Amino acid sequence: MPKIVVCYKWVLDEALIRLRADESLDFSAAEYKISDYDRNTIEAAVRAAQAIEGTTVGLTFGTAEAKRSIKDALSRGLDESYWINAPEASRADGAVTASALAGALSKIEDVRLVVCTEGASDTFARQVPPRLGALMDWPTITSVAELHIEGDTLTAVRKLKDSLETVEVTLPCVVAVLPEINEAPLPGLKAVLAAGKKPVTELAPADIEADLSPKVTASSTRAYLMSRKNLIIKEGSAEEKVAALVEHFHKEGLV
Amino acid sequence: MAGIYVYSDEPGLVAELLGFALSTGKQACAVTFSQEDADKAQAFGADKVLFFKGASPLAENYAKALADYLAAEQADLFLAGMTPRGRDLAARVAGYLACGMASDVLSLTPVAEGFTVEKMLYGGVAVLTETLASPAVVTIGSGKFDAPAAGDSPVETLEVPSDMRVRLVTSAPLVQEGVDLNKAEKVVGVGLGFSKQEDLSLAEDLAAVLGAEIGCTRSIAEERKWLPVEQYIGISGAVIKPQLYLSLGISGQIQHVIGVRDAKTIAAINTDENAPIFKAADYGIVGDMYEIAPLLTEALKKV
Amino acid sequence: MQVFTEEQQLMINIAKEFVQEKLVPQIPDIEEGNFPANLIDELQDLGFINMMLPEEYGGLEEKMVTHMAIVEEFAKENLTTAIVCNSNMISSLLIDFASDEQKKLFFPKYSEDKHMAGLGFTEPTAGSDAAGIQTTAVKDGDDWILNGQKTFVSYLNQCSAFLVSARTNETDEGGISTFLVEKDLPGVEVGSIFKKIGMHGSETGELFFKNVRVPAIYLIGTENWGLPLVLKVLDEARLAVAMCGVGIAQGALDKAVAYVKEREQFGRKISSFQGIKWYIAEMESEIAAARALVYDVANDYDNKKFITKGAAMAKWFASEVAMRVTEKAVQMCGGMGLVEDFGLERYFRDAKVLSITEGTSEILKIVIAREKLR
Repeated sequence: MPKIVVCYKWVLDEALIRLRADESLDFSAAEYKISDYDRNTIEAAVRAAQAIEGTTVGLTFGTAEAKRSIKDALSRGLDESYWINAPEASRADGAVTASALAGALSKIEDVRLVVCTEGASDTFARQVPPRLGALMDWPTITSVAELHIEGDTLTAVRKLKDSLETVEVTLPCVVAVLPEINEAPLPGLKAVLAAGKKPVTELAPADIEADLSPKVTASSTRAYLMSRKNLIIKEGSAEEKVAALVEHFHKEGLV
Repeated sequence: MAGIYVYSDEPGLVAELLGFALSTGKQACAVTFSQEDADKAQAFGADKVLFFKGASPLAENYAKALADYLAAEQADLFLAGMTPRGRDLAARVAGYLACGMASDVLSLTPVAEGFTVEKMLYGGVAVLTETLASPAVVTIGSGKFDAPAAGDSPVETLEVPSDMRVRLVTSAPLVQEGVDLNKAEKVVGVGLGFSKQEDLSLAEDLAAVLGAEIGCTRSIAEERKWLPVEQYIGISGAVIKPQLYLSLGISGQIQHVIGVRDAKTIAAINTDENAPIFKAADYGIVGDMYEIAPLLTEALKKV
Repeated sequence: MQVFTEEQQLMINIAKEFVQEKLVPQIPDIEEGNFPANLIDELQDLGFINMMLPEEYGGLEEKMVTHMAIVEEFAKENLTTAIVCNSNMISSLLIDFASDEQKKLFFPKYSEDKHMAGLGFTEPTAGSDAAGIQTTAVKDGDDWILNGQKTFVSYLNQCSAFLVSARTNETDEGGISTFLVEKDLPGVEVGSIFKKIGMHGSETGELFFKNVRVPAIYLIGTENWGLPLVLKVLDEARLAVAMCGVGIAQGALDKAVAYVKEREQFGRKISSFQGIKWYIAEMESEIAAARALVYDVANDYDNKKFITKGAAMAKWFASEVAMRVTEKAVQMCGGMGLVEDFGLERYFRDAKVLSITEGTSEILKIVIAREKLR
């Protein structure tokens, strides 16, 4: 049966990253999650699979931590899952991730379509899908806001800076979808229970042909600080508060 | 020949990127994929304008040809403007070159071993500094470099094969369903503090007095569907730099704040004094937006 | 600490997300008494309602422990909806007491068709004394004719049927039977709706029966032996109410903690004052103890143990904790604690409901002592 592979990423929930007093980042409260935009991507793949009467396969490149993503991804409607379990994933750049994914994809038979998200919520680098297309020498379509498949032809509407571009391609191909492509439903609890019974394949770096040495050297990470005036009006009647704000706007020359 | 090769589908950005390339003292080349773009780029002061001529109308379909050229020339850097097409082409080139790439960087500095960049991580919570060896690929936005003095550059036309597998069917201008927030001087942002769609009239009244446009959070556009997606502000939506951003009933999650943090002045009205928006704001009122917004509209009318 | 499987944790995450994204925006409506009609559908489609039922009746065959974890997530934000998730309280009853014929008749309705059924046991003269009821059911051919009145019936707005206790025999030792009575039967009338202190999303009030003809198949359990069935429903309801207490207390504490971490007085965050710290320590510890007790009883339930005493203990303790914690939480937030829009005062009002509904704290202690002295 033809397969649609969805690449997703298990990321730190950035909303839970805190700032320490010394302006360093505190990750202790941060939980992992499936990158938010990947939820729409999974949904797009599930819908595409109906169009080609195929099945969907989740694929993630992650550390041992990413094991927890598998049932979550499967509960969102995927039929099976591949996980490249590699410590290298923690310091992977776009080159490494694309190489690992390409390596794993060559192990999966009858892939007709690879669906990625335009960008992951942690790096939002938007590199992996075109890199993957280049490595596999597959046609690639990015910034996809609409997707239709008929027979062997995939038609996509790309949302570019100031144009909507409709393109078509003969499968197989790689697409990178925008989160607006659909509304991803919350999985039901029944789907969670079913996820535990779906097949999972774990791959080690030795199982795949891939170059896992990063091309980019990270030297430091610091908190992004915004210096704002933070003049917050809490006291007084509503009228007094409004008057104070209008006064500030005046001084800034905004009114 | 070694050097810095720049591309953007925005002509103004091509000039700025050439400004960076020239500042490094390396050869600065503009890469184009149509006669029209080549003609425009000719006047930007590049050392050379390259016109990759082929059958496909889509720039990204020349990625393989460009990568082969850059490899042969031992290019130092391929620098693309951070538009969807620029990023796409850049990442494909990086894929074919199997080299390092940094996307949408905040800063770009030449160093002995190649280039150092700063970029945002975790939706903008953190800034990461990275070093890339040559050849490298980088994407960057406008406003970082000055365009060089105009000049008259030689154009070199290269007949190349293009990838014809992705076929262009139609291209239509993106019809703005909502307003163009990028052009707005002032923006009033609305969030989930609004409990009913009708209540948005409070924000509209205020925006009318301020001469502002309406923007919103992702939830308002994508979940509630009260406003077109073009109007949502944030890391995956519009990133704007107005003179004033006034938020109403927005908690201020980082993904939203990133979209406005280059605004000159940020003001916020929210019931919850602990809302993160206040940390990102110059001015704020802790109070019920339903009460404050009409009062503010009235007060501004009198100004 | 209750340890969850990966699946249970995922279900809890889905509940958290549903609560924040779908439920929270609707709470103002719910509290004004306009319970959204499609909310019950959504809750059922996602599997939050009826999760413990066997798969053949539309359930997930999940454990009480999972169910409790889900109830806590809803209760952290809204009591009315948390109790709705506790569902069709009659569903588990039907599993245990209904005949196959009855299951076939009722289950499509209460699982697939998303009907809700509530409980009608209390009468003006028979509250805690469930055996003292005066509603009667008299046999007439294949039917029963019901006459009488129930009061403090909750969820009159959401439910289409109620499990009603009625006297079917004056002389037998038992003499009480339970009937599933549909609200639209001729002779069933909703009386006054009470304005009450909390749980505003549920309409609570009176239900009258005037010569209501109920077909025999709507008698659940054994004729004249309905009391044990009422008590079993109460055991499960009490456990769920206990978890609602835990959720309300945790929700209130978390809101108060977020406030005191930011609120400054005398030039420092009020969370840095020792008085506030002591409150927080006591509240967090009491909540943890209540939660541990609820899970202890839920595990007993899953292991098919008798939970009458445990459910009473859990409900008494957790509802008292909820009252103490919400009172302190309001206090910690000062003036804001009193403000409706800030959202904390509702927790305080709702907590009071818990110490009365499904058995007052005093009755529960009688039950606990009675079981202990057996």
